[in-house]
Amino acid sequence: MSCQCIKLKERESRVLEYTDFSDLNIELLEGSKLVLKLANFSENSDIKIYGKIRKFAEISIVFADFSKNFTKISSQIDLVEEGAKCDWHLATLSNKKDSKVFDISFKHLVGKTTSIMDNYGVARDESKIVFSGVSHITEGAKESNAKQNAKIIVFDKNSQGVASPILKIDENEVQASHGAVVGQLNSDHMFYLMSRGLTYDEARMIITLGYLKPVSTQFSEKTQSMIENAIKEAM
Amino acid sequence: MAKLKIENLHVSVKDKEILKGLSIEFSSDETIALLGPNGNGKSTLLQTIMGNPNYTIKSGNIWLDDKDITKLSVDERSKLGLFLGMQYPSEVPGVNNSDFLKSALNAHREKPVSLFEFYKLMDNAYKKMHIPFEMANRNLNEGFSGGEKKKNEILQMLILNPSIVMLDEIDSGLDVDAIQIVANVIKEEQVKRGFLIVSHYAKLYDLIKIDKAIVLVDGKVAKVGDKSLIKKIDEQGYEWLKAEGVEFKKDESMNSVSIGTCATKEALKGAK
Repeated sequence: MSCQCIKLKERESRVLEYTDFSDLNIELLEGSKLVLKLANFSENSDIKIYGKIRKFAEISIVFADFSKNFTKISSQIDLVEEGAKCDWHLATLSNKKDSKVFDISFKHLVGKTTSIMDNYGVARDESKIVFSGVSHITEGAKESNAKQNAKIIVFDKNSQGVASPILKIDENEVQASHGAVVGQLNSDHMFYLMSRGLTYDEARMIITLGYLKPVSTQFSEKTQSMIENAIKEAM
Repeated sequence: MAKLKIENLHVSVKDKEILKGLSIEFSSDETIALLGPNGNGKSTLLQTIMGNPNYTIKSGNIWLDDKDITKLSVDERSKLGLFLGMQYPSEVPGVNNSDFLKSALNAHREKPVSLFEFYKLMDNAYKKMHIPFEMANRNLNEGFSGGEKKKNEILQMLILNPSIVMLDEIDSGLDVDAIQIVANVIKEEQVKRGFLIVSHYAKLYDLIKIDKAIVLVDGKVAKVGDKSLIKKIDEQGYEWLKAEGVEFKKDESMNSVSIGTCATKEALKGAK
């Protein structure tokens, strides 16, 4: 598929939502703001996202992944001028024998730049989710801020989750934090919900919907309903 | 009228026997106060009746009317009319309180509840519990104070309309006004359903009708009495029971359990 280019002029603000997209090449000029909402329902997707964020420009990427089979999403966002910021929020659900890799990277090339990454995944059946990527604060990028948060719930005995995002810091005067959790469904939550009459499957469904909600609720009503259907179908 | 019968129940948590041949019987027109020192099986009994899989029934049976529910799943027990107000209600991230209540209510009905009927039920329950209706749109117990969580448990009971209600230290974390609100609701509900109430404080028991007080010691029923038994325990503690021949088993693994700690919670620490 061809590459789609998104370029925002100086101080321009836009909100874009796509449910069908290929590779993306993004450039945000000084002071511009982009909220990019991506919902992926395709089969066998291999998508590359590249972004170049300039002075005091801000990009917020909300990515809902309900693709099937094989999925590889690679994102590289370069924060190239002072005050550039990127917020990345991903929610994904895998089932059957899906294999999904999300390689999400940020490069802080100058000071006072910010990258925030939140990745949430639910893996069930024999599927596998991998969260990788590097948040790199380069030498001289003082007062930069990088946060990484990756969580995967593995539902079944043969589901797999790997959360291994990396922080690479080549400068001292920075703020950086990193959290990665792979865990099973909370048995206390299941007991609590089932004690109110929900079946095992209903309780799992409601927990999944809740877990992916911070991302799914960012979309338009039409896309939210597609997401809800995709979750119901997968559960 | 529903009847719950616990028959010679032996229950273990992580291979440690906590209930050691316990038998209790009660019906939905009664309220029972369940007392006993910490770590002697009160919470275990309630969790076992509700079907928590962390509690293994080694022998004995639980009957609801003529149905043996010993092996039923948790949701099936709920659908048969059992309700457990938890000591530590779970915070479930992202699950909207109102959506959850609607799903739970529908799980108990053949036809889904209409929006109007659901609104009426919710409005009534929130008013009764003195909880702001806006909290219906918050996530289930997430960010709730201890008292709000406990009031939310009683609110769920009102919505789900069970025949047998078990309340595990529902009064802990409640301020004076909140205890009064909870007690008023229980009092009003006692004519409709049976209650099995665990509490360490006489205050709640004082405010409601109690038909029977049962003291559990070392996983067995040690003493049965009326409301005066609660008063005696409140004034004198449990030591006097020794003079009546009740054995308080000294167990080394229980030494770490202090007041305010639940034995099963301690036992489960290593299991998760």
